[in-house]
Amino acid sequence: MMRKTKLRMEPYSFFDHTGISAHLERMARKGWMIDKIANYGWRYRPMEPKAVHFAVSYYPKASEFDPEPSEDQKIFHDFCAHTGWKLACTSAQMQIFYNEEEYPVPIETDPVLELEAIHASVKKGFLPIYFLLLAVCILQIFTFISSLRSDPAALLSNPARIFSGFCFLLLAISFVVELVRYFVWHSKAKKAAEYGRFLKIPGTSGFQKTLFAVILTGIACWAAGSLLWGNSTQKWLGILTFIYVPALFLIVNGVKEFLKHRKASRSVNLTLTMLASFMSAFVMLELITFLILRISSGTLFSGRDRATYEYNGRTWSIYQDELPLVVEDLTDVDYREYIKENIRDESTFLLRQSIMAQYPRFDADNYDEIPRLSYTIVTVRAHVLYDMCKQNLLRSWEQLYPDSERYYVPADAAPWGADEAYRLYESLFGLQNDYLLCYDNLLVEISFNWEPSAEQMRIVGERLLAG
Amino acid sequence: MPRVKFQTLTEQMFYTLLCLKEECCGMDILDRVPAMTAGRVKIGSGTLYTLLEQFLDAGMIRETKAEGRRRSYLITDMGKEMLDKECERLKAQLADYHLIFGGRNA
Repeated sequence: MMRKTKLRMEPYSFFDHTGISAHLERMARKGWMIDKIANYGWRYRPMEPKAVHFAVSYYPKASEFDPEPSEDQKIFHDFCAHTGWKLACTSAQMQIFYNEEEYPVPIETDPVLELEAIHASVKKGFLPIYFLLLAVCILQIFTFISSLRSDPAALLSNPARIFSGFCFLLLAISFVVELVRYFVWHSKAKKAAEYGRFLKIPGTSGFQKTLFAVILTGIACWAAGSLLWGNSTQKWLGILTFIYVPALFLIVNGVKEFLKHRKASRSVNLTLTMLASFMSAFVMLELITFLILRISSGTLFSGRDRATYEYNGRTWSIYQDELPLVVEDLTDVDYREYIKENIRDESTFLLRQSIMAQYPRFDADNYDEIPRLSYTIVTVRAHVLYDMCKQNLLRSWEQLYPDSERYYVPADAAPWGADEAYRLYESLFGLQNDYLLCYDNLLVEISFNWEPSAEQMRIVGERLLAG
Repeated sequence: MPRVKFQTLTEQMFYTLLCLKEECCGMDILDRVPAMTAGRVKIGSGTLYTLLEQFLDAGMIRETKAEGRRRSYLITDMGKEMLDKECERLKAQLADYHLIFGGRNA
């Protein structure tokens, strides 16, 4: 049975009218006629395979929010029909015609006027959108770089953040390439048109296809990283993002198409669609944040112990997570109600960062005297990142408290079995019980509320390396 | 040298204005120009649509009638003046040619 329609993602730039026409001619020879261009793809209907001429013309006054072609636009279509050019479909300013005559008169016979129409259309749709998206990408890349400088361990251990940085970088490159390509072509075409010549647009589909393949590979890596090897929060973040992006797209596209169907005016459609996109993006992001917070706090989809206690008018969770090093390994303690929390465990092929703590309940008698411990273990899988992470950790106290004198000073690494060790120094209180330990591929920040002995340092080193 | 808009006319502009000596609509122009020039000059439908818009904006033609989507136009005095100017320019070019190579007007 013959397929009724075919849906394809076509990698052509908005202004690549020669590439699009040539592609549609190839599709017609294979028996597929373009029927509709939508945001989700190009739809083709079956036809008898034959040689048909295609022409892409630009009507600058049209908009993708128009409920139907304006009277003036229909006059333009009538002119084209009179010379044998039948309308196949439209997409915003782009008007696609086909002609079954062997040698039809082209729709555009004056290169200056054709270029003016293309440029007016591009200025209305393509350029503002691309410049806006480029600005968003640059902002995101700037945020990514500043996170990389301030906290590389947290950034590089998080697959979702690495993936988003990768995507924004690729998108920025794609927007820059597209914009440069357009302006270079436009400038050359303008000169050629002044002398009565049409200038063909260099092919854009190869670059678009490559970029699409790279982004798909990135999505696959991120999905694998999040869903197969990520922790509970990462898995759910991955699943929710996979739902969020298509859902947002469907809602925005659905609102626009519904309003077009109801013959709402261009301005009403534009306003309501923009409103719907902002509102749905906001509501869904709020929902995702709420769900992720619930998941990461162990109140949703988690096997964590959900016991709680009341203190100072608030409810506190009692976690009993597995920890590689516990206070009991280091000293004898009578206290039996410790809270053991693996606050965050993020992992990528570059880095793994685990933040852990063991502390008494806040309602414990002599709270301050009960030994407690907190530590962050950064496992550097890509050794090239080791020095960057170490330097960042060494500067972390100065960055955190720029107004006070707190910094790491070198300490004896031998008791810890480490390659290097550093101890926090505060100008007002002297040496503190906070250490940075550097092992072969591990960086550990550890804090005690007592001064550890040499024997305790040895146990810490052994446990963390085993761990 | 790049062409300044309407300072000189392209063949397509020239014949479009020429057709509009008599009231006619866009589709008539699409048919008349090839007939008038024995197929030498053909105007694309998109090009004609844009030209008519620009001529209207510049006051070189005026709309005379609208029957549904079928709109008719007629050349204005300003348009006729542009046409005359172009004609004089072409005549001068032709005279220069004959002056150099000889011929009827030499």
